[in-house]
Amino acid sequence: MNRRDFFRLASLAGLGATAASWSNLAGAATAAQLGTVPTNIGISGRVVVIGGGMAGATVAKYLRLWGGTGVSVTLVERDSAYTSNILSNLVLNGQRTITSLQYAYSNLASRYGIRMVKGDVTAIDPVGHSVSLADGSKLPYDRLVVAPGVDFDVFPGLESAAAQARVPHAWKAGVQTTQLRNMLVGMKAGQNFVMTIPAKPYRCPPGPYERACVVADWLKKNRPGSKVIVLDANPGIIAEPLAFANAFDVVHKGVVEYHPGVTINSIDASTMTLNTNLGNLQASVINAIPPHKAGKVVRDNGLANIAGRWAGVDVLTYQSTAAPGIHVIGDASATTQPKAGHIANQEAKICADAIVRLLSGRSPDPSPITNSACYSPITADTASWLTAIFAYDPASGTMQPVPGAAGEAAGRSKDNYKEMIKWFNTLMEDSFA
Amino acid sequence: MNPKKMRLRSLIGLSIALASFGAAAQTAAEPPAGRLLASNCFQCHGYNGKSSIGFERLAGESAAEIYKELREMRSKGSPDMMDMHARGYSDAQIRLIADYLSKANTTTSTASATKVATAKKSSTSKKKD
Repeated sequence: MNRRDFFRLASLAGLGATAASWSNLAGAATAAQLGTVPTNIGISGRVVVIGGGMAGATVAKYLRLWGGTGVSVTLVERDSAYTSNILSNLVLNGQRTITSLQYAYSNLASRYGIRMVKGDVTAIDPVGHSVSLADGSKLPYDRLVVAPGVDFDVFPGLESAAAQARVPHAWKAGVQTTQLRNMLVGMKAGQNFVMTIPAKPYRCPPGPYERACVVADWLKKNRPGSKVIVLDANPGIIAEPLAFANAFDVVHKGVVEYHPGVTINSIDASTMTLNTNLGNLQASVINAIPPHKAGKVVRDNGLANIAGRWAGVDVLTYQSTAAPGIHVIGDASATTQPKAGHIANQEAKICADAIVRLLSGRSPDPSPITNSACYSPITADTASWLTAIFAYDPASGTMQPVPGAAGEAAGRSKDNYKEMIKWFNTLMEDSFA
Repeated sequence: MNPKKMRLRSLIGLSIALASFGAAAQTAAEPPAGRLLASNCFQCHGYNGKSSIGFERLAGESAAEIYKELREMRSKGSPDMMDMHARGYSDAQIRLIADYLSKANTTTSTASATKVATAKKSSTSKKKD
């Protein structure tokens, strides 16, 4: 047995015992393991971060770990906890609850000295360098990091709140995720579940295909004769094509019906009918995932300079190409990298490193690397994976995939499913613990 | 080791020495070489490789061990996720990552230290370096 195998066995043996207490970072790691904020290392500045998702929480934490106590960090967030989108498809099949995916901000405050401000941003003043909040207060900054994630277009026909409640997207984990779970459970055998996938770019490229698999797996066991009908705006499966083609054609054969190149014209929530370029389709449950755009704070403050939807950034610093001193990280920025939590965490580290260097009069690292990694459940106990490494290309000024360092799992496996849970816990620890 | 690698190694040593000198003098030091690159490991292996709950703990390994492992992963057939991941870094980058992680932390909990020691015993005999 080599050392790597030894470690694998050792950690698998420990997994069962610790899994229960680890669902929401219930304090396993010690302060020494997590790192401590160094006292003033000669760098000072005020950084305000808007948004406490994967990108925002990580940048706040690493600004302090790498910048020391001289860098004051204020994190503005409207919710009292973060709800993970990662693994939220497992709420649909009953393997997780929404509360098991929630992460408080208390660690960021107590361990790293980040000032948490609960509130809504009303305006950014890029000239006066301050952020205004709904309660009338202002937060001055030397550097601002904006990380609001995504917002959604509204399908014609779903303008009212009542219509949206009948046809949830459940693409931001929370109330809608639980609603969709309840709708699935409410289905009768033989009824159909229709889901729509927007044209890219959208958050978590494999996510919708993963959802189709998880729902199909549940229906097969619990509602025989029911189907998942997938209407994809893209010309084909855009992530893990081998794993999902196999899942649709073999593993969930006869349960998943996949249609690429479908345009949704409108959705009628009262008759539960979709009007598409292929005609009308009626369903028992409709899960319509709309096209995405950057969060409102980006669009309202002149930062959405790419097609009016996304924030253009310099990927050496994630500084906005529209406003100096403002950085945009995570799903809201327009880069060549996927919109997903794991890579948002790494973008945040590059941004934190760049801000620390800039505050001390240095240049940003000229050759950053990011990595994207994720696991996708195919059934209730098997998963596949996908990974890619991106390196800075000076010629184009973009992050480009490193040849030969991107790919997907050879097949789904139970080991992958176990690794997925470990990956999730460590990723959330790196961002929120 | 060829002269080119030797030169690289001594350069890395130099920048680390400078970095710690800067920190001691309470002025803004150049961030440690390899830190940002190595932070790509933290999502799965914990801050500075010190994970207690995830994949292999990297803290406590020597730079030579980490370097060798990553090099071996790059040439594996039917790669798993980490083998694929290792292919994304150049030789010089792997050396920077290994060097940073081996120096970033020397404290280990008793339990993990024992594991590392036991595991090392079984693997060091096979190592040439």
